Amino acid sequence: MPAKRKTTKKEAEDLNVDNYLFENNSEDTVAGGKTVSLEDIQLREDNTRPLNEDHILELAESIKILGLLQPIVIDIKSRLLAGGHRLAALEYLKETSPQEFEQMFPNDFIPIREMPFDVEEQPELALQVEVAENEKRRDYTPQEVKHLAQKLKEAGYTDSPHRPKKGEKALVPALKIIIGKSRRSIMRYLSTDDGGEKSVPPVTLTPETKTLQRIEKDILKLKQMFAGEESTPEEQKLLKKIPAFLKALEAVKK
Amino acid sequence: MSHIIGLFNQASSQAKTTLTINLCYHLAQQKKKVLAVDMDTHAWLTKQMNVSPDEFKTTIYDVLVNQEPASIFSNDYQFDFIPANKQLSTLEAVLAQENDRQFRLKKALMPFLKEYDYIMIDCPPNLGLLSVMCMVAATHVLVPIETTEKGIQGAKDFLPTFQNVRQNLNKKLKLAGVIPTKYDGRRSHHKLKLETIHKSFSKAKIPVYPAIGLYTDFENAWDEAKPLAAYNSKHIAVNSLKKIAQELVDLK
Repeated sequence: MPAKRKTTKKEAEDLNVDNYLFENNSEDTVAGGKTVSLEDIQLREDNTRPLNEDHILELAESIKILGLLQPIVIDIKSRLLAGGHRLAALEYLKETSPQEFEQMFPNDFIPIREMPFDVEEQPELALQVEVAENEKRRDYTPQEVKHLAQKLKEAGYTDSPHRPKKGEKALVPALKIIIGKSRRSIMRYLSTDDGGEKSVPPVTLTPETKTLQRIEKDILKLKQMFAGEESTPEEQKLLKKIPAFLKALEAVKK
Repeated sequence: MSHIIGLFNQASSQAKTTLTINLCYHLAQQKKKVLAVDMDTHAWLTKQMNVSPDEFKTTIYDVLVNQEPASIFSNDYQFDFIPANKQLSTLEAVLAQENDRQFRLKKALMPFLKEYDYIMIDCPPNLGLLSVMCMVAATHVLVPIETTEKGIQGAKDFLPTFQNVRQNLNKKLKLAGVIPTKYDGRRSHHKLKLETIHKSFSKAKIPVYPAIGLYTDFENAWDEAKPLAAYNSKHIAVNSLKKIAQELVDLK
């Protein structure tokens, strides 16, 4: 018997568009990372670190120029885990420069990183996040630091070795806060030529140069030992000859 | 205030670019200042402006990545455009580290809000960062849906994304309506899918615009890089396009 041809008319489907126009039940995120509205971020009751007002003002100033470089970290219920100073700085900015704030964070949405747990259920995880976040920030390459410094300079920050005059904004302390590195590291980043590694002149390691290097190292050690202690006249005599010797040694190495 | 309208459906060949060009043309005919923005990595819209995409020194890519001011170009049909080229396809990787990446297009369009009545964005056929940028920048989305199962699937995938963008990135985004496209009234499959579109969207009070038919003259016009009305002003689809443009003018 030949198979009967299907003749049932198909019904038009209903896509339930209504469901998508108001409530959001989906857990998906869209491409480009998550954001939340500033008001939606809640503080934790047992928030641990006290806030430092100067730090907040400095951060607000830097966010105004550079944007928010590190997202704020929250839990699944939008409770703050790390970034209390950043959040306070954002609130301060919104109040004092609403226009710039709107430019920078259109529609009031702040970049965040959401940690997949509920802080009330797992408070110990919150502490871990907080510590990790404060200990280990994103590492900036020398190029990035230079780029940030350039932007800050354009915005009126000055880079001088002296104490800033009143009203003047100093570059290096600002960078210290932004990237969380010591003054020395920042100076090193800014001084590298092409932003890459420090340039090391090529040295050919023959047995001879190796020995010379070792002698140099030992002599420097000796110099330090003599310098600190009360030393005998003989030792003093030797100490005086060290610079000349090192100079001669340097000449041979080259 | 100007309207920023993204034509979006993540399925490909839903007539997004064709509609963008034609609607820009009809809006311009109504004496509106119109800017078209090409956000598609294929740069179809740019190619339709009679210039090779590689001839532009700056494109939307430079605007989004280097945050340069956008260069505006004009064409023969009284509307302006910001071009794209294939470089745009590398954007996602380049911007991956930037916190404000979803907002770059919105920021870039801010200076033009005063100058233009309508900014029409031709979105790419995917759900990636470029599409999200479009929906963050837009005040409205307009969804062309081919009257086939593929078009319906595209609409199904679009809805959660729309909802998500509204929840997470752009609370003010509105769904301006859907446009059934490539409709062939002789085919029962098309009739069924058109019915699906009407049934689903009308119930949710989303406007369903007049269906745009599948006509060879769209291809002929494309061939000559013209809007349909400039190719054949008496074509039957011109009226539907005019009607849709009129609805956009009345948009709140």
